[in-house]
Amino acid sequence: MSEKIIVTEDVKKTYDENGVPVEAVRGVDLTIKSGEFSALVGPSGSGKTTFLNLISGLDTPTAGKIWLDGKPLSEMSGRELSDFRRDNIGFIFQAYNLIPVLTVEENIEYIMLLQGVPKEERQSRVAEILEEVGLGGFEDRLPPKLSGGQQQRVAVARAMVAKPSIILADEPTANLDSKTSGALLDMMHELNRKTGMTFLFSTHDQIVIDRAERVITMRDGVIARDEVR
Amino acid sequence: MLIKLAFRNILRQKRRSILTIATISAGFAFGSISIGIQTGSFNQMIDTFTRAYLGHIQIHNEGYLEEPTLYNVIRGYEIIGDELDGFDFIEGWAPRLYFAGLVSVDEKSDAVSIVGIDPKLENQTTHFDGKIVEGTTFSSAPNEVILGKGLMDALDAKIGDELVLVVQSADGSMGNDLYRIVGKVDVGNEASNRMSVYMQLDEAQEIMVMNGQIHEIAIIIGKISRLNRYYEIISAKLQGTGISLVTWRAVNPNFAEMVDTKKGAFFIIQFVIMLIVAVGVLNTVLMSVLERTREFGVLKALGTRPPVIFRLIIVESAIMSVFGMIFGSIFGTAINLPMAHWGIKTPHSYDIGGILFDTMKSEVTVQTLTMPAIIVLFTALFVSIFPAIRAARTVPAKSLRFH
Amino acid sequence: MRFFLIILTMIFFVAFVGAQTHSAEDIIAKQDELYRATSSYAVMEMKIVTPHWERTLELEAWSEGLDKTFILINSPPRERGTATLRIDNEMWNYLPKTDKVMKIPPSMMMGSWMGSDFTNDDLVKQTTLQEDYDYRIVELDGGVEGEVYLELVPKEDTPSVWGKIVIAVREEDYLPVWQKFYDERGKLMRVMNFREIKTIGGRVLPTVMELIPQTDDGQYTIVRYIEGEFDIDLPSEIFTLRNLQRRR
Repeated sequence: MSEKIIVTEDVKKTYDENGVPVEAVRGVDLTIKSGEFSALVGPSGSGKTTFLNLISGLDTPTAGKIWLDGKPLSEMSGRELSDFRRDNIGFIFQAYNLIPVLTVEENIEYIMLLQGVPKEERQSRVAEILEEVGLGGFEDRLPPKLSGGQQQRVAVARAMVAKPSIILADEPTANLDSKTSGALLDMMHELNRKTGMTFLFSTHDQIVIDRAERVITMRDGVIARDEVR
Repeated sequence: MLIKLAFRNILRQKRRSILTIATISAGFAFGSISIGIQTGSFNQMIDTFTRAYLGHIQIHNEGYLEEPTLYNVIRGYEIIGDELDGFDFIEGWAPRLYFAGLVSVDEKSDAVSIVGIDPKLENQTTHFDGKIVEGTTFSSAPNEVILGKGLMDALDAKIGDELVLVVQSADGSMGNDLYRIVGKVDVGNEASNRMSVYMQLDEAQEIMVMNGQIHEIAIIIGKISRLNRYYEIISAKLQGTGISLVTWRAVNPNFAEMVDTKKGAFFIIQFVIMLIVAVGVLNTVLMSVLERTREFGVLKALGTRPPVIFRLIIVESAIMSVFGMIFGSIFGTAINLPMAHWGIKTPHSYDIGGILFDTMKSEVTVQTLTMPAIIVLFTALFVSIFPAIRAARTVPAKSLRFH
Repeated sequence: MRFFLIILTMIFFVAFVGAQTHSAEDIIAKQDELYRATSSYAVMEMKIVTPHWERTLELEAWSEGLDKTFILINSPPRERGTATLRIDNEMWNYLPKTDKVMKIPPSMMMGSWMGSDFTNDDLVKQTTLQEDYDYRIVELDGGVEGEVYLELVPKEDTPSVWGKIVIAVREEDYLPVWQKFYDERGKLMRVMNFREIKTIGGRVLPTVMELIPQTDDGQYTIVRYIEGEFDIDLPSEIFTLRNLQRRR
């Protein structure tokens, strides 16, 4: 694993919204190191979600370059990007985005299924990670039957189970109350310390910002402040 | 995993899935029944028509059908007959000799076409006796003739009348003899009724100086639905004997064409049914794909390749189709079987090729299930391709951006 | 006066002949009269050849005027005694085996007479070429020296199976050489050849007629006059149904 997990160089993204060009990201140079627990903050429309999409390969930049774990994203095919995301990036979404028809266990093991991990290993790893996120024994539950906090914990488990190099979390606490949010963040911080997995949050929740070790502030599509605590 | 996911997705919208499966079943059953009725009634129609006289299969000497001349004959037909008797599936076979002549009853004369038949074999094959509407069939007495009813009227003849027949025999001489009219026959065909005189084959051969010679053998098989298979079997057996074997289609291409045209009309109905199924399936699949755009975005964000998502949608449609087909075939066969057994009376009898039909019969064959299955599966999967491509092309960034 | 008239007629005649060597009218009249008479009797032989068989019939024929004919077959044995009577447009056959008289229905008039290439209609024809056809002398490609050719087209009100007949006659005596029959589309349907000019019953005429239909390969009928008498007294009894039915 490289020291610098994410490197961006003058990344720009322009959207075409009903014929009007919108500059969402206007030149971002950023380096995230392995093991960091950082927050990308800024008001709505500051470009942070777009930037997150760009560095996860879900979206392609209009200009500039992105290296993930030392590999330039621009040189990967769609299929390579799919595989790269599967193996190297864990996602946590604001709306949890669990597959509602799959059980907790099936949701978590989905990526391992795509990777072709044998069944027994999948089961033991699911059980292990569920213990870690405090949902031991919830294997056979269906997501719609869980509370928001529980669902997001499942999402964390899903993001982490395949041992990616980085976890990108887009407003993970937006739908949760402050108590649940604090507990979730503490849990993630704990996991970060224990496993050394890199976390990058996109958020404007103070609970997240308070716990982040580095706070990168975006405004109008550029980095306005970069503060390491 | 894919199948598990597909199953769960189907169960997720129970009402919609049930409706879709019901639509597919209905389409399938309808297709199955209509194909059943189609093959059934057409086979029945063909059967009635061919059993009347034509036979299912005919044997002639090579080239006779193209140019039927008096001299293009089969010699030693009894040997062929022995071969035919060896097949269990043959219900009957009948030899015939055709020639023209002039008949007169009292003052009236007419040009006629004469058919020399073997009464016993003809009965087994085309139930000739059953078509006699007045008088009797041939007895063992010599010089008896049976006339078509139209001819009988044209000649003002009665049963028991004397009939003089003049023919030009195969050796050029003028043959003539005196006969007694013993019966009047209705073979179900206007033209034949107006023209034909039937007489015993051996007497026909004698007056024509054509001993042992015939022009045609008509064969009736047990099941007309197996015509092609039986044709091949007989064909293989009689190969190399210089005779030609044809099905009723070749003998009466007009009737075959008429049947085919009517069959074509049935296919249009089937096409419409399949269209309804297609629209039903398309609607369901398209709705469920649109609803799950976010989910496909997540799957793709997690690293699922597009073909996997494409397959997921197709598998979902396939599963619903399979269930639809299972229920549809149960439902369709449940209706088809009794209809095949008893048939339904049509409100009006209809005339095809001069023969009246008044019952519509269904038939249960492999086709009544495979044909709709193929069409249903094909249409269901075909209309799912577009939504499946749409799902596979979901852009995760877009579908996930707005929360 | 009478002498003068004869001279005048002769002058006209010579002038006419000088202008046109042959009169189509004369030629047609000759054809019409050749085999006909107020009454006639003939013994004939009819040879019928087809790809499948060949046979010879021996016939006796009586005729009176244009409308009565009686034909009796004397050989071969199977047909011996078979007779045909024709009065006007009607025809009957007598069948000795069944001892029955059978009327030929109108639908069979184009049918073959006794298996020959002659149709029943050929025997029934009671009108003359002169009445039924418009005719003219024509030049023929490949015409032979010493022959004159006529083209006959049926008059508008004549029901005819032929679209056109072309006949060839000898220049010197107008005796027929051949006749060719065409259908409405101008296709040659049958050829009748006249051969073996002999004197029979005081008349000079071709004694052999060969009818070759152009539709069937290798098929033809030859009629040969063995003997003949013309303009003789015949008992009218001959042309009756009673006579037809008489066993011989």
